[in-house]
Amino acid sequence: MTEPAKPADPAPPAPAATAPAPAPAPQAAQPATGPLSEAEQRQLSTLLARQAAVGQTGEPVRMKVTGGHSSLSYGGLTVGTEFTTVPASMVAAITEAAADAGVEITQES
Amino acid sequence: MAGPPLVYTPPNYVTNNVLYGVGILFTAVPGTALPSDQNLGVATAWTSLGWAYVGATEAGVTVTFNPSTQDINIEEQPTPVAVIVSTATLQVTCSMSEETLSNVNMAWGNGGSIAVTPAGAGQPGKSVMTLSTNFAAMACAVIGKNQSGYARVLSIPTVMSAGQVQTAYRRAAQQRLYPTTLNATCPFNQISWTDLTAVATS
Repeated sequence: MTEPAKPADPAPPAPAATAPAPAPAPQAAQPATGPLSEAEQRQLSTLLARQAAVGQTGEPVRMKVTGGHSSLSYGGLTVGTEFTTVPASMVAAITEAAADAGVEITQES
Repeated sequence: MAGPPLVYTPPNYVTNNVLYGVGILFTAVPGTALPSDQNLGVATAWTSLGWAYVGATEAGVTVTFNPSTQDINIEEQPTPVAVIVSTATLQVTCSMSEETLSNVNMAWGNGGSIAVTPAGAGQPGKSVMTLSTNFAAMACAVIGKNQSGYARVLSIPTVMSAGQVQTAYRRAAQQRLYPTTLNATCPFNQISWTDLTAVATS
């Protein structure tokens, strides 16, 4: 009657052998609990603002002004004769503004 | 037999908490990073990151928070059982005294573009602002000094300029002014006040 219990004995060593792998997971999950620290709140606020600004429009692009103009400013952003990074959310608007103002603008390919 | 004496001991107020002084208004493209905590009070730290200072104002900067509420009433009680915020606006207003094209543009909705042509042979240098009603969003920050003498920063990630702008051209009565109204357009949980309270320990 005690024989059936014997095959069960080898089973525990098997999980023990794999124990080192899952061990880091619970430790990594611990810092996620509790309220955000002031630094975390600030970081989150910055990230949310960045996400809101970029939206789902994609990566920023680099643009520059060519032709007879030296710069074009729109929405607080100035694009000069050297390539300037333009947030993706502003690319269409600044392209349209350039067209309205008669300014040649080039996007880095 | 008389009980214990009745004592009147009002709380102390803190005159140091009564603050005054101008606010400094910066604007930038939405998503522009704020300076590090150490440099929140340093003007050049803001401008080096792409923030633009609006310059002198006629009467400083005004911040207006204006929630409108809806009372939830029941017949059985004369006072509302709840007061719910139906709309809430946050506005930053000022009358800009520095007439630059970028300030005019910002007051007029921030939708225009300014094209700069450098001086050349037979071509005077010029800047041409082309107007548009496609108002562009921007970020804004108002910096003031707190009771510790450090920076206190109100950061609004997204605002839009929308307000009536009337500028009088007078011989001597006053300077030309550009009243500006910046309306917050982001969720309130993205708006923050940051108060520097103590120097770093190292």
